[in-house]
Formats: sequence, C-alpha cells, structure tokens
Amino acid sequence: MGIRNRLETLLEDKRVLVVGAGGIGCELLKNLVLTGFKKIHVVDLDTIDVSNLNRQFLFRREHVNKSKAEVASAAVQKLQPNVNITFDHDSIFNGDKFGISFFKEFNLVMNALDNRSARNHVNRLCLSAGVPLIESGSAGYIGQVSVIIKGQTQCYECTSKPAPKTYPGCTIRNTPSEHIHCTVWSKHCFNQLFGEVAIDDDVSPDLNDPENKTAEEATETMMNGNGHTAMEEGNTNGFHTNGVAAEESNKNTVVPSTRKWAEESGYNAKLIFDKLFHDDIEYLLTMKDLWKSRKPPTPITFANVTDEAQGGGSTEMTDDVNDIMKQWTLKACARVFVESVDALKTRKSGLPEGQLLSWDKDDDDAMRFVAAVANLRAHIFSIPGKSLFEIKSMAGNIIPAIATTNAIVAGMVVVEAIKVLRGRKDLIRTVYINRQPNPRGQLLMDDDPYPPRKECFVCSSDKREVFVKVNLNVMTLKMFKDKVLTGHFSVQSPDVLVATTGNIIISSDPDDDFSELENRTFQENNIADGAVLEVDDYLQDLKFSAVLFHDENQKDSFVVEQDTGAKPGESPTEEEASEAKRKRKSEGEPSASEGHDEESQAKRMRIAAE
Amino acid sequence: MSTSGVYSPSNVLLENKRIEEEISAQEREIYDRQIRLWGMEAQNKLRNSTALLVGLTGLGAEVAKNLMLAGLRSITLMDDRIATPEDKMANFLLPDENFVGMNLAEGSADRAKELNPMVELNTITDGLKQRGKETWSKFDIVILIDQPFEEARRVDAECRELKVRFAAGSVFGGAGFAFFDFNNHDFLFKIKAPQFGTGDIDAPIVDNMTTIEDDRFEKQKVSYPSLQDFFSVDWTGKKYIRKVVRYLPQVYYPIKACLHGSDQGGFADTQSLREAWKAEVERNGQDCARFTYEEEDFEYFLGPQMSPVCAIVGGVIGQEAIKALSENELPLKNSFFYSAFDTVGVVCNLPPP
Repeated sequence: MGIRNRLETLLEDKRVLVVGAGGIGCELLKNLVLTGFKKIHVVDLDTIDVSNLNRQFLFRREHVNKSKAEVASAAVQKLQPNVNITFDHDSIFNGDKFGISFFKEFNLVMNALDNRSARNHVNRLCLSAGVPLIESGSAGYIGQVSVIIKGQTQCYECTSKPAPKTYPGCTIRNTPSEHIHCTVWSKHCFNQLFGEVAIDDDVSPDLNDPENKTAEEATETMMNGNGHTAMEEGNTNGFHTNGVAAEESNKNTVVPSTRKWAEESGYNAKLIFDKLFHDDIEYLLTMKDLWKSRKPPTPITFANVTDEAQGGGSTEMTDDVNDIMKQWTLKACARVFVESVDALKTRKSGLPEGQLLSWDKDDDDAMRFVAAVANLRAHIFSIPGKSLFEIKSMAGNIIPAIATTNAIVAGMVVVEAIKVLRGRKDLIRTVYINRQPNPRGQLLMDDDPYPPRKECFVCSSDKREVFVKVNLNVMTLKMFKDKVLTGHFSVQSPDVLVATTGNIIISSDPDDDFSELENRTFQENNIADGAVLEVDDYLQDLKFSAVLFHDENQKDSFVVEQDTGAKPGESPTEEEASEAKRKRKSEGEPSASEGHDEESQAKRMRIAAE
Repeated sequence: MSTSGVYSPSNVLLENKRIEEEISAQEREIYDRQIRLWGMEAQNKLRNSTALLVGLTGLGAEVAKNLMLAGLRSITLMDDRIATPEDKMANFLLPDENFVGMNLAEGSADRAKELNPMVELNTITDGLKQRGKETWSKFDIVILIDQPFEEARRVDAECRELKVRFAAGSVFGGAGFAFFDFNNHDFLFKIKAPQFGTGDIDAPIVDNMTTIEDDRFEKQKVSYPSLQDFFSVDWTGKKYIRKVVRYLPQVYYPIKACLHGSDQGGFADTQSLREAWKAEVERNGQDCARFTYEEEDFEYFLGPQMSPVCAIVGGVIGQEAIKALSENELPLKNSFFYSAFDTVGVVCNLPPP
C-alpha cells in the first residue's frame, strides 16, 4: 500500500483553498477528496446556470440558481464523509474576509477561475502571503496548468496577457462594417436605456468623427431641428433645443442622454425604435463625408418594418421569435424589440430607487433585446444578420467549455499540488494540453517553469514600474483610477501619490473626499509629462510606480507599456522580442479562462432584478 | 485514407436545418457550451449513439461521467464484480451508503443517471468472458476499462470484424494508457477554406469572423491497427531497433508489464513488478540502466488508482470516444501514455508507420 499511505501521511495536516467551483472547480474538488485531501475550503460567488450542467457534474437541474460553492461542497462531502470541507458563497474580492491573513491559513491555493481580474487578485494575495498557487485554465480542447511560487517561478502577471479586443468608438457609433460592431452597439444601447452608463457606451452619432469634416454643418442641422424626430410629435422634452439655445452651445451642446430621453417618453418602445433606427440614422446621413466611400445606411421606421410583408431571403429567415438558431426577419426583430423593451421597462421600474439593470447573456429579456437591436442595426448598414445563438457567443464572450478538457486540467492541477506539498520543486512542470500532439507526440506538453521576470511590476523585488501613455489634458484622475488602475491593473483599493511632491491624489479611505480632485484632468491637477505616481493597494500588499507619458493621440483611452521594461519609444532588443515571442508561443491560447471572462463578472454585478 | 464525400456549404446548411428539428430546446440549453465548440451536427450524432462501457473502476467512473455529460442516446455499464470499500475510494459513482456487496455496474447506475437524465442508462452484470459479438454489435462503441489484456485482445478483434469502434484503457497507480481502434470509420476533416475575392477591393467587408459555412469538410476513413498488432511490435527487429528510444516513453515498459500481469491477477509487491518490468525492457532489446526508475518508484505503478490520473486518462478516452462517435475532429492515433511520476502525456502510433 505504497502510494496511499504516503499520500495520507503527506495530506493529513494540509489545508488547501480552491477559488472557483465551476467547470475546473467541480472536477478539482472531486479529485482532491478522492486523492485524500482532508481540509478543503472553497470560495465562489456564482450561482448555478442551466448551461453549466453539461460539465459541472456536481450540479443537477434542481440546483439551478443555488450557490455553486455550497452545492459542490455538499456533493463532495458525501463522497468522503471524513473530509473537512467548508465554503464561502462570496466574492474573492471581499477584502474584509479574504485578506492576506486569510490566505496565510493555507498550505496551497488552487485557482479554478474564469476571469483575469480575479486571477490577478489571487496571484497578488498569494505572493504577499507567501503561499504557493496553482493556476489553471481551459478553452475548448486546450488548457494549461502552472505553479506559482514567489521568487522561484513566473507569477501570473510576469507576462502580459492580450488585451480584450476593443473597437474604435466612431466605428461603433457611426460606421459599423461587421456584425460584431452592431452587437457591441446593442449592448451599449441596453446600458444607455436600462443599465449603468459607462463613459464609452454612447450610442448616438459621434459628431467628432475625424472622418467627418462637415461636422459643424451637421450639428447645426441637428440643433435647428431640421431633421424630423420622434420627440417632436407632441413631446416637449425632445433632444432638440430651440434655435437660440442651439446656437449658443453649438458643437459642445450636451445632447440629453438617451436614458433621460427614454424615461421622459415613458419607455415607449415604438418611439425609441424610431429614434434609434430612423432619426439617428437620418442624422448620420447628414455627415456626408462618412458615406463618400461607403454604402450609406438606410433608416427604417417601426411602421414600415411591421407593415411590410417580408420579401427576399425569407427561406433562411424566420418570423418565429422563439427560434434562436435562425436569423429573425425584420418584422420579428421589431416584435422582439417591443416585447423586450416592455419587459425590461417593467423590471427596471420595479427596482428600488437608484438601482439599475445589468446586462447578462443568460438574462433572456436582455439577450433578446441585444439580438434584435444588433440585427436591426446590421440591416440598416447592409450587414448580414445572425441568429440569437450566434450573437450570444459574441455578446457574452463565450469561450466554449467541455467536461473532458476540464477533467484533464483538474487532474494535472492535483498532480502538481502533490509535488508542491511534497516539497519536490525539482519535479514541478508547466503543462499545456495541445489540440493535437506536437511532433514529439506530446498531447500534454510539459516544460520547466519559467523563472520570475525581473521587471515584473507585481512580483519583482525592486523594479516595479509600469509606463502608461495617456492624454494628460483629457484623462481625469477618476478615469485613471477606474479604467487604468482598476480596469487594467486589477488594483482594488488604490492609494496614489505623486512621487516628487508627496501629494495624495487618489485615496482608498472612504472618509476622504477627493471628488473635486478626481473630476479634474491630470493637467488641471498640475501633473505633467513624465510624472511618477506611487500606487499602493494595501489589500493586495502591492506597490508599484506608474510613469505617465503624454500622448496627444489618446482621447480617454490609454496605452500601457510594461512588457519589455523599456520606456515608450525605445524598441526592445531583438533578443528580448524573440524571448517574448517564444513565451507567447509556448503559452498557447488558454491563459484566459475556463470560459466566459465576462460571465461571472456580469453576475457579480447583477442586481437581483428577478 | 479514402474520400467518401465532400460537404459543400449548402449541404451543411441543409443538414443543419434538419438537425434543428431534432434537438429540443431543453437539450440545446444544457449542451449550449459544447454545441458552440463542436457544432450542432456533431451533437446530433452523439444523441444518436450508443456506448458500452465495461469496468467500473476509478477510471471507468471518469469515462462514464464524461460520456453521460456529452449527451449520447444510451450508455450501458457492464461489470461482473462486487463493490468493496476499496472501490468507493476511486469510483465516485457508487452510492454513499450500503454499496458493499452491490454489483459495480448496478451500484454505479443511479448516480450516473443523475448526471444526465436525458441519456438512457442500462446495466449488464456479466463479465467479458460471457459476452461476444452479439453484444458488441448493438453498440456504436465498446470501451474496455481495466480489463485483462487477453480478453481485451479478443474483444477488439471481434469489434473490428463487426466494424464497431473500440477503445481500451487502464490506470496502474500513478500511470495509465489508452488505446483506440476506430478502424475504417469516418472522420470529418476540415479543408482550408479557399480565399475568395482577394483581388476585388471594392467588395464590401461583410464579416471577418469565420463561421461554419465558410469551412469545407471532407469525410475520410482512417485505418487503425488492432490491439494485437499494437502490443506485439518486435522492437529488436532491424526495422525498429533504432527507433525504439524515440518511439516509446519510458512509462511504456512498466505499463506493459502491468498489463501482462493483469492476466495473472496483478502483482503482489514492487519486487515482482520490477522483475516483470525488467523482462519487458530486455525483451525489447533495451538496457535497464537506461531508465531513471528507482526501486521504490515501482510503488507508483502498484495502485490503488490515483484519482488525478484517472481524470486525465479518462478525459482523453472520453474525448476520443466523442470525436469518434460524432465523426468530428482529427482522432488521436492510436494510443496515449500518461505518467504522473515523470509528468509525461504522449501519443504513440504503434506499430510505427
């Protein structure tokens, strides 16, 4: 009885943390109890969805909407009654509960997460607490496992991960050419009407499109009310102002938000339809420069779409609004639009004051709204439409996940876990699942773990620097905090001071009121090109310097240069570049997730609207 | 490999229409994520497939789980052994209480069924010896898990005759292997889509995302050697003597020794396993000194089955069975060897082509 006795002795007093009870998590928990792990804690905020059942095998239909952590713990507890398994149905970002001292209670942490910011967060806490971490991920047929031990192996953030794809605002708002542009726009549209409005989510025509040289003329047309709008028809709160006001404000006129407009119209679906798909399109057509080398869009009205008998292509399209595999006809889209706007309006009005809906691909009303809106807009711009099934993949960033890959990944996690707990660091490997065996026959491709990157802003001991290019005249401190620090660097509660002056400009203390400061741009706060900001997150025990560079080409966007450790403008040496390339190559694709990067984040933020 | 049919985009479209009617909304909801990976046509083939799984060990439970979740039409679990407390340590499908004395297939059935109530589940309480061609002919795939080598060889030969897909696998402690024989079965190969319109710069950019309609598929038959041929390569022969080191992972020898040992009821201790391993290495014209195994390392192959190893080998067997039944994706040819001890997971094509 060799292995079992040895494992029993080894695992008797070891306590491990599993972060995530989804696809990899379920498999992992099963493997852990069957291997003889005795003390397991699991954290997951998520609840069970029907689409989890094809792989998250500890869950059944009757468990839908229950806590993943709770149901999974109960299921594996039954498998081996002598195991001590505990759980938290909570977000790993909850710093009061899951701080450094919490992580120190464990001999090993295993990630089974589906999004990068949570991975970054756990990576930092494990480094700070000095606890080994096993990171894993899967996407379709491929997956990977790597061990992170401070000072010995590369941490999760030593290599920069490809940024999620973004599209220029002008393309989304003015000149979509692919269906994905319409899908992105339709999600923004949802937020404009029912959800939290982000800076980048505007859906109205973008007057500042660099391609549009006739902007001023067009603006005047818009402001003088020459175009016909739905709101003119008997409604006094339209987004047209009278001529005098318009002339005074002209180009910088703040068009009332789509939200306000919709609220004042009582969320009249037909009026919203005509504004989005007729009036705004008519307005786009006045920006003539845009259509010199493009096919101009064709405005549609609710009346036209619903009255017309559907013509060409009808064999491939369906009027059946419950058929999610086929592309809906325009008429069907209009019907879904009205139904979903009505349903969402009712749900929104049922929420407590100040609360909003949040878009979630598994929320049927929200998904149908987005599918209908995306296809209507696609039609207007002569872009072929898609089925709800296809749009859901794009809108929800769904990375397909299957049971077998997760089983293999979870098995590999436990194999590495045993090596770490045995103290056999010499045996530790980074392993990738290939889709097909490589020329050496390896289906599981293993490699020595990479050493930590000397310039890593998270795990290096001295050179913690990042370089950020922003437009100092445009970016406010608040934008910097939300988009750069939280959005890009996954910092949870930053304190920021200017290195040269020692002035605190961003504070994590809820008692501090920095709102005035935060709403001003860097330039207005006298923070100039080349300024060094000291960023500190006490929760993650993370400190690094952010060096700011002014870049006139950025609007409210930014560029981070941290890859090479070189300053912007300096190109990396050939050697460095090929090293980075080699790493990327061997890292394969699946550094991201078990699936659905956005999925659980959406859930995390979802307001109990049901 | 021979070509038996080319799928044009319009054929695929027609095919999709037909399938839509067959897969219910409920199934689509549950299988959503995998349909997004392997497509509706593959899912429809799975739901029309039947599998026989023999051997409800720790590895058997893993394979059963993976196939139940995938959504086949029916799965039959077969085992003639009686459950012991030892089985409960590995087979997570056994009930939590009162399982001792139950037949392993019947004891695993309830929990397997719970994994996916849409799949029909049957059991057979006979052993391999009591069954033959008549049984195998009822299935699209026969999978033998942790079965004695001699019996497995017979079943494979019979399945080849019947043109029934065959897979076998075993886990010995911290190492395992899988063997596949999908001889003369169709697989759908993707042909690179031809590039249209590259010279026509005025053509509107419709959509730069690859959709299923853009790809062309071609059905090809793949030939596989038998289990008999797989394990009877004479590595000392002129043809292979120089290739043996390149072709075989070091875990091949202990696994083959364990397989032969399983015909005699397994090994009592590390020493007898080591002897059998030595004989196997020498039979292949190799020198034992070439390998890094220490005496105590042989404990790793003695068992019991390590759960993570069952998960890995069971994951590969499950995935290959899914590929074969759905006639989708390139199949592995024709075996997989895994060892947790030296972190090796390689595919071997034996005999070498």
